[in-house]
Amino acid sequence: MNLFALIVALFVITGDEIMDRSVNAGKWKDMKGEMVLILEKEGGEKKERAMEFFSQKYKGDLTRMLIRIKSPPSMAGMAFLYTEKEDEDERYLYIPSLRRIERIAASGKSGTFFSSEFTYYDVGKPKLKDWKYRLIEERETHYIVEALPSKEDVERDTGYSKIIYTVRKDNYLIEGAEYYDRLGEKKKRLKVKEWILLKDGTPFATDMVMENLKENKRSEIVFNGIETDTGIGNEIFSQRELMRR
Amino acid sequence: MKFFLLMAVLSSVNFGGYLKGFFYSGLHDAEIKRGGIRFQGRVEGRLKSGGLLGEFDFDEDLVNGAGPRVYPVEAYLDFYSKFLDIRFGKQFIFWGYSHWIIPTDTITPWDFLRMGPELEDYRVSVFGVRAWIYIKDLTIETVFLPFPEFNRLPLPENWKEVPVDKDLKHSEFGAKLSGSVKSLEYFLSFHYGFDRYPSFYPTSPTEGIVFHKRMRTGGLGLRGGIGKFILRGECAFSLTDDKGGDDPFVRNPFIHAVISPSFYPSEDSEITLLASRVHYIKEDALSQSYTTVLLRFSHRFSDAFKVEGNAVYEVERRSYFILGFVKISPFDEGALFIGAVLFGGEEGPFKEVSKEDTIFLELKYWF
Repeated sequence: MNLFALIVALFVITGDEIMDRSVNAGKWKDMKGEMVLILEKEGGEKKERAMEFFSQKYKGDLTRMLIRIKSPPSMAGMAFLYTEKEDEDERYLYIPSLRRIERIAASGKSGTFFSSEFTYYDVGKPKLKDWKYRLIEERETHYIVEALPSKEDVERDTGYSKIIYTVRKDNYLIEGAEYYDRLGEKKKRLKVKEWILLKDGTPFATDMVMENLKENKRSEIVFNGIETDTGIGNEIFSQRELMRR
Repeated sequence: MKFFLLMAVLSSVNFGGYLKGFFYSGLHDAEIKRGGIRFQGRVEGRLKSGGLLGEFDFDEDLVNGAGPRVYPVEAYLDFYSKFLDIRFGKQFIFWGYSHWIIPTDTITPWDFLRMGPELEDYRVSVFGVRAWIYIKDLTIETVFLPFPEFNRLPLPENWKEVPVDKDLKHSEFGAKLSGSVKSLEYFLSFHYGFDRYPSFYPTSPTEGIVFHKRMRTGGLGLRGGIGKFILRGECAFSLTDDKGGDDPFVRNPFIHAVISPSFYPSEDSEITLLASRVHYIKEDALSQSYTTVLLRFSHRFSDAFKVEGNAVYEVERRSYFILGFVKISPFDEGALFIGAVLFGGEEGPFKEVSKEDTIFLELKYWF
């Protein structure tokens, strides 16, 4: 490497650095709020689920999450506990009509999030080491970063063979993404419609739309009343809390 | 102060419920068994230190003409503290991890006269006090029932049931310790109660007495997950009042073991297999050991269409019970259930009620 190339390399940002700044920007330990999940089928028919959620980082980067459905009335009280683990994630579902907590299989991160076009992987925090990132384009306001699975397990677990991220240059918010299935075909497109700055100054997407390009369906998640670092106790993320309506 | 407390309680209370039309018809004789409407009103609320739930049904069975029936499905108060939760009132209490055939699920009775798609129809809530004590990762659950309730079964004509007095000497209690080691969950349970199934003493070829006997059940359950599988296992020993196995009319002590893997091929599908063995320590005409297998499946084709089926087969008596239904919900607030309950086989209780095959239709609207 000649001197010129070395100087250029020192000042040029890499795909890994962009994604690291994007994914690890938020230093919050816990978060709570409300969200509305809008499911839109081909033809425009819409269904809405209103939920409250609690999320917490524990044991470093691992996340756990409790989500309780508030409406529609036929689903109210249903609650979901997700605990990310280093080996096998755990999922529990409380079904009010059965008065039981069911343990459900983790089924990888490609499982759909409440029957929407989002998967558990999409709504969670990506593990940087699972992907090889490459900056493929630099625009005036955005970076375009390609992510390829670093090993076959990742592709199988997430269902994605490639992801193309659109990342804002000013605050490293992922403002869009295109997801390719295991056949290498473009399957879904994510677009962030609105975002806010959390109290620690990091951006957070509050309105995002996921389009299924193959099935012509779309889902939208709208967050409201987001609060961070309110000191949510560990006891929230338990089967005890799951049963309470 | 009281005003603010009252306002806090009222502001956290939600009202809801559902309206349902139901229609149950015999499959063989086309006799309409039940048909009418149900209104369920629900009130629920929660504060930091407690909560409440009340679900009250108003049933009008237009076919049987028995007149309106109003009853609580569940009605309880909750009190929460850091290490202790208490629930007081009428409630469902389910122990055990497996589905349908659950050795340690001995507290909440079944209503075999009202089998259908909804649990609150075929299980009978009990009045009691329940407390959960939390010590680190362990949970100790205790239950006290001042008076027992029993399974509701079709009884032979001219047989008289001897009721159990609502006296504290007939109260029941139970305790369950649960926890987990890594991703393997476990529980140990003990229930000092009554056999939910009655004993029958014949007094003549056509008449007899139906009565209830004590039963003590100690159990152990395990549940773990590997990939797309969840594995459940349970074992319980039940000591009936016929400890020596000498009374031909009372069940003998028995061991009940169950192993049940579930496979979840996707978020929308479940396939569960269950193998169950009831082994009587001493066998006689009434207490015959038997093996049961169960297949349960459910699949949600879309938000609007779901299929569920449960098939139980008794191996030795070659008899079966099937409950299957489809749920059609074109919009979130409403659902149509269409299904059937089928019995049959060569001998045993399922064969005896094989004329009770039923098809049903329920139309439900939540508000």
